[in-house]
Amino acid sequence: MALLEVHNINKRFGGLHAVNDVSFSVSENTIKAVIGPNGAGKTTLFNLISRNIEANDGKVFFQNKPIHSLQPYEIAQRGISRTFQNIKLFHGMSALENVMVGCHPKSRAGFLAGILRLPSSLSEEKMIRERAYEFLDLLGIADLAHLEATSLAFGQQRAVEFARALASEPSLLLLDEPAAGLNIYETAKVAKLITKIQQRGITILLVEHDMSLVMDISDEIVVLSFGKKIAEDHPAAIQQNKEVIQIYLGEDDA
Amino acid sequence: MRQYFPLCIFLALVVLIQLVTQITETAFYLTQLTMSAYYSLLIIGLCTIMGYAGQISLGHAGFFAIGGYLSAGLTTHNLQPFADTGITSLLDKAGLLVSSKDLYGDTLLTVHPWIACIVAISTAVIIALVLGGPVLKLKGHYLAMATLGFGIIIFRIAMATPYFGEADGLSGVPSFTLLPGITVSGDFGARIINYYIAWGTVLIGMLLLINLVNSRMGRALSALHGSEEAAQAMGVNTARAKLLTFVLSAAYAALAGVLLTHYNGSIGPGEAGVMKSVRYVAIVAIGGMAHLWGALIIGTLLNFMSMRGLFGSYDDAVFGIILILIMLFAPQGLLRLHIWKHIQKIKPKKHGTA
Amino acid sequence: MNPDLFFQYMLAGITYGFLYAIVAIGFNIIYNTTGIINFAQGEFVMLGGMFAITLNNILPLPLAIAAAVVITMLIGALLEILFIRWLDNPSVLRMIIITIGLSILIRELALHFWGETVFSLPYFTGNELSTVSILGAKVSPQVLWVIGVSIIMVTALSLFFKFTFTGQQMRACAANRLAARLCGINAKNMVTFSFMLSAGIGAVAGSVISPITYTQYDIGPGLAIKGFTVAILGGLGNSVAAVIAGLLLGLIESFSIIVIPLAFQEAVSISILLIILFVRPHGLFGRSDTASLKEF
Repeated sequence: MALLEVHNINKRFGGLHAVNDVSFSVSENTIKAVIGPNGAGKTTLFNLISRNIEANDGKVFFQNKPIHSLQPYEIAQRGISRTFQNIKLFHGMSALENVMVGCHPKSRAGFLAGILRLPSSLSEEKMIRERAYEFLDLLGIADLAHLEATSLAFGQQRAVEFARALASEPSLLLLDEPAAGLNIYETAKVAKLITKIQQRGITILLVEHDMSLVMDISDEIVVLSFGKKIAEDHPAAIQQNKEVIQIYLGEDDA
Repeated sequence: MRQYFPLCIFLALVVLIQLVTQITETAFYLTQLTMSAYYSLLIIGLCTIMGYAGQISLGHAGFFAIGGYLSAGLTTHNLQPFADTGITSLLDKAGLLVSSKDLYGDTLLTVHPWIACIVAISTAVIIALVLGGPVLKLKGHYLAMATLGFGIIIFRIAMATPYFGEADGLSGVPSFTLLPGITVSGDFGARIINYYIAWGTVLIGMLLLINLVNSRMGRALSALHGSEEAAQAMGVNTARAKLLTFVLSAAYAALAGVLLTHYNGSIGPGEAGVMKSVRYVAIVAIGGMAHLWGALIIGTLLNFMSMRGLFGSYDDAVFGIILILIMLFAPQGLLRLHIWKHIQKIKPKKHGTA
Repeated sequence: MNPDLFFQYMLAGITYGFLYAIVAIGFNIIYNTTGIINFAQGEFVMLGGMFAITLNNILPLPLAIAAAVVITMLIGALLEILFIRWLDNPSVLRMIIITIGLSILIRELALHFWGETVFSLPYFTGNELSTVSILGAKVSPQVLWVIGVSIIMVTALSLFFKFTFTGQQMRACAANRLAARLCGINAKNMVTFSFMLSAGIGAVAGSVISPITYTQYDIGPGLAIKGFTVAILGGLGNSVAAVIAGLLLGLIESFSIIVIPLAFQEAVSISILLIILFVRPHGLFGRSDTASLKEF
């Protein structure tokens, strides 16, 4: 059974048909990658799923329930977490606090409980803090916990964002170009990390430029070109796919 | 518990200042200190929505005025002529009205201050709820102008409505007995108790806000200030978080308006003016935006100095200049200049408050 | 309502409408090159009027106005150079607070120099009693001055932006500041120039309107908020639409007197601002998808 199903989703920006009638599905506990040349509509597709952008039409189902008319925060509460292509950490907050915000969907203390410092909110706060440490530890950056997140090195910021996304204990994790701006060594680390996350029982959908990373770790790949899906298959089959080769080589030749 | 430590120092300082004024026989300072306290109450509320949640409001004098004017109007306007009408007699029977004698011995029938207070604050809360929904969807200049517009509308209503005394405002506002023996009034003899009422209110207000910013919701507020998109992706209902904070800060402003009006015995349209709102924003900015203690300290100091007449006729100009200088040279606020950072580094500090 | 009264309301609406439109265009010029809303925009109008009035004591009227415009433009440039130019990528909130601070400062200085007295320039032609007859209705010649000067100014501005090199450079900065800089345009100078231009047209409007509306140190904020309303109505950055929107607001305000007391007149235009911000923040004539691309 598919965890996430996207049915005929469309997005137009004025005259530009950024995502054109794309359908695909992601099975539980797999790693699926969306690839394609620049401007193929990969990130737009992502933003449509996480509802940062309103789709013109099309349906999205998560755990067999429609999610295409929910608010972004409701998407997160349902168990879909994400990272951003151009890292979006909360400035003015420490790495730990950033990850603690990630625990938001799995905690409950409201406005009044916070103001009145109710005992329930205090014990929950303790739990949130411990869990945030755990996720920082998982990513090997526990020693950075109290540094201001936006002042960290690029690779470290990526790691904080990962930890933050994981802290909501999602069933599906959307990774928007997790290796962008990283060197080969760091990319290899990200690949290992993604596999490790999958082993925790989390399904992963990622958008990526780096072909080697995608081919190594993905179970299935969707190829987009000019907003259209042109292929969806196993990595080995995609590598043999004539149309895909043409797009990539054609672009490289130009 | 460590975040309550400053509150204890603060309480000690409040008592100390009172004792010093008593010993040095400068108790007249208490009047302005009391008034400063009420303005500070508004300012720490504004600090929460502006500094922590990152939403500018140039209309908070409007909420102050709603609190002050409604409470003044209800407690001063004589309902005696309407005593026989259905609603008034119903209110009277419910014990919501008080009768007293005016200067000429005529009977005055007015709304009980407690009821007036509740009505005033509820009105501010409802207006904040209704206004906050659409207003807080706006960002940057649009939010600034919309809140500024709201402030001007309240000012115009105060200036143009006979019930609110038009340009003269309302005077003769009676004292407000909070609890037996604890009365908000400007009586000379009640100066010390009023000083403590005011600062006690600020202390409680501060306590609640410190709790808030250190809670899960407070963290969500800081997060949406940092990046609204990312906060939503982390499951934060940003619209709701902003609205609740806005409403809370409006309630603080309205309460400040109610209490200060009873203390002064009057309120005028100047309290609703745009310059007042700008002044509050200036103080929050000088205090360092997301810095409750900064807002409180700066708010108290500047308001006290302003009311002591230290800036003479250049009162508004002083605030204008301070505003520009701070934004040019210390946009993080006075208390966050680098010197202070170095001092803070000397003390081992575990977790920041924000 | 009798036709004569109707006509008078309409004229008042048009006169104020042009004034608001000019203030709105002032907002637009600066907004287009910088992304800043200059909260001190109304103060330029006040300064223009005040300087013209003061200088008119020693200079003939046309010279006094010309000098007032030049002085105000210099002040505009000075403000930009002193308070804005050297800031490195300031946040919107910071810019809002700085321009608000500037507006307070200018106002307080004006209060210091000119006091609370209400001044006005003399009528450019004739006096307050003289009228010109148009289609049988009596019109004050000053109203014609306002309308005429406004139309000339708007036309000149659009020609300037379309055909002069500086105008084109400014438009390039508006479209994409980084790209403009890469093409060798000195974006910082363009920003200074936009402040000068915006101060200049404000000063012209302030002088022309002074005989009708009078000038006092504190007329700025009211004008600013109405100018902003008009700028939003027309869609921020769109100056032709601002004229239409200005006339619309002027007329609404003028005719609102029939149903709403004068004391609430300002509340009427601000309510319009709030409604338009809530319902169509991209303006009456703008498109929502292009507006969402702008940084607010």
